[in-house]
Amino acid sequence: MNGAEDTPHTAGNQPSCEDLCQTHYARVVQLCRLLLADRHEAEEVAQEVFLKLLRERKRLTQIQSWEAWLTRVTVNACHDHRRSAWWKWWHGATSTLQDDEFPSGGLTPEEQLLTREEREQVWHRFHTLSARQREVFVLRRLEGWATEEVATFLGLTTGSVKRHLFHALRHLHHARRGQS
Amino acid sequence: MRRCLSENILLRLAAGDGSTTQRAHLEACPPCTRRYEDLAQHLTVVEQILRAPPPATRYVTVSSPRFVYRYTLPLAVAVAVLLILGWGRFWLQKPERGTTTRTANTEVLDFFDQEVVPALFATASASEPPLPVAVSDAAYVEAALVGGWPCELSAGSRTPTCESYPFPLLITER
Repeated sequence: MNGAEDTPHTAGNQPSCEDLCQTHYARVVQLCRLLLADRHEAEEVAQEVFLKLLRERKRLTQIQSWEAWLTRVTVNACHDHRRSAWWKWWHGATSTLQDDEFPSGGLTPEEQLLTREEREQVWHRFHTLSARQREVFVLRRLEGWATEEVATFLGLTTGSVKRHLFHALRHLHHARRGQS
Repeated sequence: MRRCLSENILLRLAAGDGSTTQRAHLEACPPCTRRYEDLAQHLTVVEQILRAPPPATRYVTVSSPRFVYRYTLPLAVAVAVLLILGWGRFWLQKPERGTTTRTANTEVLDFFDQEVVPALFATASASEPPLPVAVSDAAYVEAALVGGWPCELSAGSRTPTCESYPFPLLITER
């Protein structure tokens, strides 16, 4: 697992909630956007994650990696949210978003060169993956977890993780190439 | 392994899957190595896209199937309920209709048997039971002279209420 917060913290030099929020909020929201289809739900779940952090901060004194802890809590929260919010699925209205709602400062020049259609196509294809495939892809490829770590966390075998990742990669690769 | 690796096998290798033979071929075969690098580059770009915020119209494209899904489930449930109700009603009514018809037929037959048939054939059997025969006037005269009713004349059909019920006197069995 990579990240800036991988250095172990003792009880004395634990980062404050504010620091953790500033460091990880954007990443957690992005994780939620990837794992949930709706932007409002994503923000709601991200806030729930940081509320949980705020509540349990004093108890959690031996956390080695806050990045990994937040990722685990976020994935679990998204999982629970998907399960509990089935009624929202057909009841809630979808929202259209404006590009300026999102900051574009983090985009590299290469990303900025990408066409809008290509990004839309990739995001659309990503959200047609199954929830499990999305979780595996996010943890394995975007968060950089090892296959064994993903398997342990999601309660799968390493073979299942590889299969889910293969299907996700094939689906997204075809999306980039404009295939169906 | 002589043949070059297929795209699916390259994707499997990128996912951490695949056999050692395939990995060995990938390292030994320059065209496959090039294709694998292209694939890896494609996937890197996909990952970069997914690390960035989503474009606005993503939600518009997602909204269309969601609209369909949102109303598909209730519609399917409603149709299923209607079908079940319709079939159930038909199924329940079918034997009821037969029973009603059968009951009605039985009632009609009983009615004919008990009421209509005896009524139709009543004249035919009219001669069978003993018909009343008029008593001669002598009995009345005698009764007037002697006193009381001439019950003895109709001893065969005398009833305990003979004294207060004079009509059997008017009837004699043939």
